[in-house]
Amino acid sequence: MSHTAVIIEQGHHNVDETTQQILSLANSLGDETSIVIFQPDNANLSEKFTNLNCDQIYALKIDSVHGTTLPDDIVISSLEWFCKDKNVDLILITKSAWSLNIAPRLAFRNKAAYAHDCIDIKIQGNNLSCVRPVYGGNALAQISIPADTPKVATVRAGVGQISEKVSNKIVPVIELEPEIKAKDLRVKILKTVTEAPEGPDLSKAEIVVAGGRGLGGPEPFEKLRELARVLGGAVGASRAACDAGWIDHNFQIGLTGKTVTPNVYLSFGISGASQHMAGCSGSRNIVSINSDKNANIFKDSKYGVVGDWNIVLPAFTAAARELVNEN
Amino acid sequence: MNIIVCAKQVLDPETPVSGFVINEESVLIESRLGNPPVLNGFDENAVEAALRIKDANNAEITVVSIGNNFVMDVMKKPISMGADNLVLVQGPEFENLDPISTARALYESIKQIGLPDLIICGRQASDWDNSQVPLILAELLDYNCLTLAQGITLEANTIKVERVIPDGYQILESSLPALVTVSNELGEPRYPTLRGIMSASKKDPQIFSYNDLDVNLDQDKNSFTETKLSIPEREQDCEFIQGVDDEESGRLLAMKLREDGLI
Repeated sequence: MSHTAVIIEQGHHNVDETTQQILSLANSLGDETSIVIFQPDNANLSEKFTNLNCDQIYALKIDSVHGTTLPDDIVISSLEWFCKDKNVDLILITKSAWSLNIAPRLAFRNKAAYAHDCIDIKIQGNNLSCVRPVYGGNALAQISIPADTPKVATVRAGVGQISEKVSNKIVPVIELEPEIKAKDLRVKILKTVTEAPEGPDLSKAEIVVAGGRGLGGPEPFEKLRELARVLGGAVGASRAACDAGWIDHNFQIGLTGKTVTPNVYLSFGISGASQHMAGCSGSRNIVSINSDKNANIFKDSKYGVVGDWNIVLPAFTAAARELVNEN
Repeated sequence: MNIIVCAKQVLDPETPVSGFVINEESVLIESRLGNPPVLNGFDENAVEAALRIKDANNAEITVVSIGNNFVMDVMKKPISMGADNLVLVQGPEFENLDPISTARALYESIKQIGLPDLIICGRQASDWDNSQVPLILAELLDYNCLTLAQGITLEANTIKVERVIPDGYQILESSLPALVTVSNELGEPRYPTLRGIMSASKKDPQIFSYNDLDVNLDQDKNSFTETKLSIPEREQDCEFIQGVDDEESGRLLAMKLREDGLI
């Protein structure tokens, strides 16, 4: 009998594809599956999760004194307590800027083996086999963890099939109050500032228009924004373009930026280093424009144009505008 | 104040993939092109973060690294940027350690150097991308842990960190001592100065070997994992769209995507 718990990122209460995928992965790995959510004591968030295919939902009730954005220390102490209380064998969390701060410390405290940013997890014999990209995605490491070792794994967004929702089953919601001691809170969050960039959310957009080092400066990104408006898509960039200051880091796609999974990923002047592809390889159709016919990104692309983006981009934008407006 | 920066020597991430070869024995990727290793990029950001503190305050910066087969020119770069001391913990025992053992070796080394007010680490290393060692080190030392910094400010015994989050930032605050991980959003590391290069050439690192440390690298058998490496094939049949000139290529591409219902 093994127990897998899927931790939902604090503050994320919409059941999206990523949540359904990680849940379906969890169901394929153990006998018992739980969803764990963080619930401020004045809200009832569990309702949104009750039509998902799992055995129970644990709502961890956290004192509202800790605010709406919970400090890492509080999240880690709550989960440490939860894992011990409920005998969890495997913790699964979607890899994100949030889980990056939580999972390694949780694993260490629970003497668990940790597999970060997995793109495949399955049972092999008595072991859990996790595949994770290493060396910036240029190589894959397969990690084999014995069955009797507690485990924590983060999973890359877009991995796993979408699980079916269940309508004929009422999933029990169990409220828990984790034991948190006053001394657990050591690093306070004084302020959280978010400013959603204009246009659709990059990580949810169906079309992403991305630019890289090959664009050579900030001005071309204005042209990418124009194309994005025509297509109803979002603009993104490689880390090189962000580090050069051509566009804000909020638009960075890659291993250490955002992970995008659009239907169409249109790249201009991006060579396709593995570190960048780590953030966009889940796109269903990659279309690339690059002046170097040997650019790596063509290996992952469905369609490619070898040419000067300065000329291809305006021509493409003009034609796309006409075609889209035909309807 | 005393600052320790943890740094790692890694395979140059700019190495072309065709130069990659798997060393089955050590379970490491090596370059067959003979290009030298580099200091992990995020660790250079960490050195930069420490130097900015030193610019504004009275601080002494010690860089610590765990590994084997160090290339001295690579490891002395932080000194040439302006750091004060270098401690190399080296030996075959430290080759390709798992994250928990690396953190334990760092923990023992830092105890010997003397516990600092502040430890700064890069957010992850570009070889194994585990993002794990700094956080475990903070747990072992029982230091306050502030992650993914794009800015650090100090005031008396208080540290404030501007943390990168999707579409924004957070301000974190704790008392010292603390461990901070930094991200590339912090900004470009400075170039070595001529004076720095001169002082780096004269400065000998302090060397620790396995026997100098009171560390048992086998104690984490509990989380023992077996690892295999492979290099993935990346091939999709890309259909190239080509017109008589780039302008026509752009137009044809738009029509193709429309035909497929993609736009």
